[in-house]
Amino acid sequence: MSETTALDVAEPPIAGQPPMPSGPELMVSTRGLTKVYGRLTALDHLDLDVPKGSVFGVIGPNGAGKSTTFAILATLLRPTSGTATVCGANPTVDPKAVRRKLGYMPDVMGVYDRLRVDEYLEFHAAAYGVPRREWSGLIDGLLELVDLDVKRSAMVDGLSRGMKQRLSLARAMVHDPDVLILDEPASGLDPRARIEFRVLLTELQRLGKTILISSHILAELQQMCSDIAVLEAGRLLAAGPPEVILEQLGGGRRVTVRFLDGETAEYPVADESEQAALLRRLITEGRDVVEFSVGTEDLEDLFLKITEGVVQ
Amino acid sequence: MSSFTVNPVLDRELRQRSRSLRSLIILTLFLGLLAGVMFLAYEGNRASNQFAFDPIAALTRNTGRSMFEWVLAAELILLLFLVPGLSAGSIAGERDRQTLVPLQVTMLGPVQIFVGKVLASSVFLLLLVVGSAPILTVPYLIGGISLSQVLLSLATLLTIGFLMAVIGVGCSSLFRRTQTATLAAYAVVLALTLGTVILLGVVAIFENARNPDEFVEPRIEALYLNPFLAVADAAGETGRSQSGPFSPIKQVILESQLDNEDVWFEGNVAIDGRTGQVVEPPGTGFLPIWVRSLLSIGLVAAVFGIIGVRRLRAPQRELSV
Repeated sequence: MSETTALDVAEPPIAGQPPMPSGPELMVSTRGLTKVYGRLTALDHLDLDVPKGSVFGVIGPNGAGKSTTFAILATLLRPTSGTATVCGANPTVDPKAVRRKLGYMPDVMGVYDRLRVDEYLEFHAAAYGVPRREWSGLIDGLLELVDLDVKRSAMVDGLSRGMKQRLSLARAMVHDPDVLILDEPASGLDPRARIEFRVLLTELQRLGKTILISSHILAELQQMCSDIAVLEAGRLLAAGPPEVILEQLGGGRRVTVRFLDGETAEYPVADESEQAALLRRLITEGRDVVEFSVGTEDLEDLFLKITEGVVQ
Repeated sequence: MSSFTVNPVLDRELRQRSRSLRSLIILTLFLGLLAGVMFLAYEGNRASNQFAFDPIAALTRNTGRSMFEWVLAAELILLLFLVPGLSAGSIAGERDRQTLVPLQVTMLGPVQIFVGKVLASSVFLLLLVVGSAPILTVPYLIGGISLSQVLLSLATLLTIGFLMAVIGVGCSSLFRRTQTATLAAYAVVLALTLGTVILLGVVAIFENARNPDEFVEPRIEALYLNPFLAVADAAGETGRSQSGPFSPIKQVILESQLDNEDVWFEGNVAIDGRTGQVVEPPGTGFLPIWVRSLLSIGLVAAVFGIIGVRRLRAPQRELSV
């Protein structure tokens, strides 16, 4: 545990230990977080810092450790070693303190039959200990936020998948948490429902929520996330703003050149001056350039590389 | 606006069940079957007493008790059949529907979730048992039983049903799949009913083998976990009633209490072989047998309760979904 204390925002400073780094307030932090199932290492010494108010995307192929990380942070799973803190509390040591501040939306949304939408939210408000006098206004606000106010009296099991996902998000927010953990919230949604969900997340960010999100819709993550962590086989490959990550992991500007003889080639370039130098060189060499186009690698390309084992 | 205050899980379960036709169908079938059993017991007694010296007196003396005990036995069998089925899906069903995780990350503790589930099953059980009370007024009015025996028997049934619900919810928490949990709950019920009878026989064989020349009283302790023992004893008249479904158990109770091998039994009435007189039941001492039996079953239920609550705790070493 000693390796984790330097950035452990949960604990008060202890004499003899290095002080916390100055910088943005961390809402979620992990140090050396490891989870081992028998011979399988699902998480391998994961260090993550999620600043307050950020939308933090976690990407990686299946089995990378995303859901395991989320389950530990959501007080469901005990790590083998390492520590995690959520809003200053350790999910393993003080799960109730974490649950008070955290809204968790698992990747599969189960619903009860024979229960109305408003009753579903009332039930979870009661389960979170929200005072009853607050329920009415709270549920009105949440249903409006997730655009389900017209479905207030509908049965939960009769909602469409997109509506269920939005209701699940409302459920996760019923106690007004500071941090939201959304595990694959857009999976199985049609394009329209995905766009609606993205708009909703933007609204939540505007409300000051810190959001941890995993998704396979990487273009969307790239658009809305302020930070991204790339996991593979339980290890953290890179973390930071999306543009920095792309640069770190070999992404960035690429020039595709098509020659008169039909040959096509790709050249990595750092910036526009390198791009101009490349064009100059090709012409000097006497190559008949027909097409010279610049593209940037995005998260999807990066994800493909990761799943193919190109990025190590 | 709804309540969701006492125990949110209980409230939600009751709300869902109240919208289900299943509860209504089960209640109707349950009461219909009990009424049918009572009618058959009445007809059976009427037929067997019609050639008695004084048919009216014989009918009054035996019929009320026989009807009472047959209804109790049928009710116990139905409860042992229904309660595990109703309760064993409670938590495993939440896992199947993927609704347990959102519940576990709320401020509700594992005890609250478990208790909510047990109470939800028990409230329906209460409805069944209270609903059967009017049926029992018929044998009560015919005679042969006291009001205290009726109330005590119903309370015993209710307690057994509650303990079975604890066992059922415990199995539901212990096993991931509803089918497995239901099978496990029925296996426990089978062990408590048939298993204890087999145990009684095995113990008797060993005791007889050890003391081949002596009369060995049956070890009634082997039956303490058997719900039929508790209800048979709570129904009363051990050693006094002639026949009925609890007669064999009452005979075992009596045999275990009599230090006399020279008796023979008519129903569960012990007759002294030398004098031909009815032997008065000696009583059970400090705690009545139904109390000892309920305490024993309660211990088993407590074990399932503790295991069930532990399985609901989060964080766990492995995800239980």
